[in-house]
Amino acid sequence: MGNNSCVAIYRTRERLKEAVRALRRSGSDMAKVSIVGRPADGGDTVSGLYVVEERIRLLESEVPFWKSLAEELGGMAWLVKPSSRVVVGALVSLLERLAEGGKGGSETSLTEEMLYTVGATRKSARCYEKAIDSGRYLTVVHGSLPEVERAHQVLLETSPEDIAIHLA
Amino acid sequence: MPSIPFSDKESIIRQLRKSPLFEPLAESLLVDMLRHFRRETWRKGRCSPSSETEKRFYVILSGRLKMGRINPETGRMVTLFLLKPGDVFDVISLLDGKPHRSTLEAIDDLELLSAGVEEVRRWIELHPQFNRGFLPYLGWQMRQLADLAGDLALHDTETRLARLILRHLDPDGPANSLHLIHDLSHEALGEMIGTVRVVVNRQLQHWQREGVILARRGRLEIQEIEALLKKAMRSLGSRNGKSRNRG
Repeated sequence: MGNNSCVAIYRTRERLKEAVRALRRSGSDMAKVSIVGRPADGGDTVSGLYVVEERIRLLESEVPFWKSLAEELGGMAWLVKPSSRVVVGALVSLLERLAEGGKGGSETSLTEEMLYTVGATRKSARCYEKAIDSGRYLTVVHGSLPEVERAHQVLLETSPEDIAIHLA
Repeated sequence: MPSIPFSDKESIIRQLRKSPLFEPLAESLLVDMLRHFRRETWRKGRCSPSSETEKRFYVILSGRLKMGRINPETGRMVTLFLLKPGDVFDVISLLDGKPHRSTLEAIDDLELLSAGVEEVRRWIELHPQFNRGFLPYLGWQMRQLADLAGDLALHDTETRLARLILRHLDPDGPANSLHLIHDLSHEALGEMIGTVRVVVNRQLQHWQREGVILARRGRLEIQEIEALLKKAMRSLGSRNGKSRNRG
């Protein structure tokens, strides 16, 4: 797990999907790409999608979107409780390790820990959480400095609302 | 949808204006320059050789960065610049296009903007108002290096430490308060004056006993500025002279 990352924020699902397609077209290592967001209604009350050890439960209407992303990024997805943030892709295994290690306690959330582990500062990680909770989607590419710089070049062309490189 | 804090252009421009290079520029030019900047954060403690950064020019928006040289055989470091919000690097590589053998270390979490050096060279050529901020900044950096060289050649460790502390009096803070170096480790202070941790530690303890400074909870405070000024005024020559007179 590289401890650097490029994080891009998107307002819409269409832009997010375009970003994932752009990364794939550019030959990026998709095993280092993740998406973080929230179900449109923020709820996890109705079961419909079980991707990783039955941890994710979403409204029926939300299933196709997250499932297609999960399939695109290696089939891993996780609904982080209690925040109802959904993580899809490579960072799911990191989330699992963090959760098993007891991270994401009262002072920090699991998603903050996850973003911190891939290079974001605490302040940035909290800003990203706010962005997610206000309906945005993150594309996170982690890896070496050249890898995240390359991802930055690719994602810059996909009109993100914000984009940054985080180095640890 | 509400705007997210770090994508707010106005706030980034406000931060950029803290830099002497960007402060005098027209809003429209700053907005145009922003298109060429990349937002970065570096976590506290990140060390990178300048070879990683020599193709880009960086502006610090928040946090402190140490730029220094390391002796690879001994691991000893001398700090050339302690950079703060508004400062930029690496000016030397920007100007001569050659690698600069220095090491960068984030003292705090850093927020930065970076642009390709070719683009910044274009700004120097195209925008006289950018140059008007750039040249005095270059002069300031040269003066810093001259002060460091002069201190290392002409003053003993006690004088160098006193001068370092006095150079970091906070002009905006309460009387005799320090900024930038107030919470640095003794090792980091030593690197700024060409000595080692134990020497700084011993000197600060001595001054604390004299009531000149107060070092508590990792923070340095000046108690007797006049006494510190006297220590800073002494040169190696005058001390040697005193020794000779005594002898």
